[in-house]
Amino acid sequence: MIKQDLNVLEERSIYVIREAKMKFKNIAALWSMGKDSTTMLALARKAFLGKVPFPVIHIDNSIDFPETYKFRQDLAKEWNLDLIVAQSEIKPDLVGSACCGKNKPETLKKVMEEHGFDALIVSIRRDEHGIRAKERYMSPRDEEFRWNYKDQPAELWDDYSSKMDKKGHIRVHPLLDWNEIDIWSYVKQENIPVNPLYFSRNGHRYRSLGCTHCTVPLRSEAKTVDDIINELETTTGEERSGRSMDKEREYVMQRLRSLGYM
Amino acid sequence: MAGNSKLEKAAEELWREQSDEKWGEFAGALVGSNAAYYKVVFANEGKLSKMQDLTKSYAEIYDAEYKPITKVPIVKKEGKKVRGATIYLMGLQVSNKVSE
Repeated sequence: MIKQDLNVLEERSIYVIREAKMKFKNIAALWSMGKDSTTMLALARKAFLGKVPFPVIHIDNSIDFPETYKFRQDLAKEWNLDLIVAQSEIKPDLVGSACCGKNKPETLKKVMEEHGFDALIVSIRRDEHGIRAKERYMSPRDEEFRWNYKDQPAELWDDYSSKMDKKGHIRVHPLLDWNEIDIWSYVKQENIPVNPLYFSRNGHRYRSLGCTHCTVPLRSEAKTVDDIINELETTTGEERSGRSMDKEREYVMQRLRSLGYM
Repeated sequence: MAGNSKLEKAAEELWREQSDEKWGEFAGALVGSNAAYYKVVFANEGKLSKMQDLTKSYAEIYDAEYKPITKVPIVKKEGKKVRGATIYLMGLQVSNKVSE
């Protein structure tokens, strides 16, 4: 895994976050309590003098790890976040794509409508998944949250489009250029708090965090951020290999994202 | 340990009938017990194709030496809606102990 220049990445992400805050009337960010969205919040704090200047949404399917809830509680207090917890209902078809493909986007739609948000910051990275590599920094969604990945605005000379359907919204992706090792290097550099599940206990750790149903730990002895960085320098395994396989097959992920999945 | 029997009783109550009050009692009993770890076990090998699979799923709670203390549901009913309840296990650590 190739490390990039953290100063360049930080500068670009802060620029995207500031541009988004300036372009949209009512913006919010999604926070899953994972390393990426927490890093995005740390960047937002850096961009706006120590305060995250927009609401932070957790789409809570209410079967997240208890450690994740504790992390949410502690960091929301420490960073004084304007946290919106949107609880999604659990439905009997809670399996693979049916769970995240339907329940979570439905809950997100509801919370976006209730609060009238016109843009949403999402902390996806291009290196996570093939379909996420097709994203733009600012990417329009229609009224039904659908993403037309075959027809996206060009982003030339750092000029991002804020054009959208009347009832649609824009997804803002400030971390697109980062890769996994950059995130961990930045976590180390900025001493960003992270969910304890990322660190090894009894020979296992979670490399990518979802809910208790769709996430399994991987074998690892990485007990510190330095250990994780060392591990990533040599690993050949995929980051999301601990996530439900149904969701991660390329076509399924493409279908999910086109329907509004984060 | 007295704290553990209180926890066991609170968990039994939850299997009998759930309410916010009973979940609150369980959360209180958890603080006074020596519970340290949890493991979520999804019914039907995790396929969860029916609502029953969800209501039968549970979290097994262990003490610091990985001795099982009790089991507790991981979903709760709110009228006709079903919601998860893993937030009530806050303070415990996931048991990823490698089985021998």
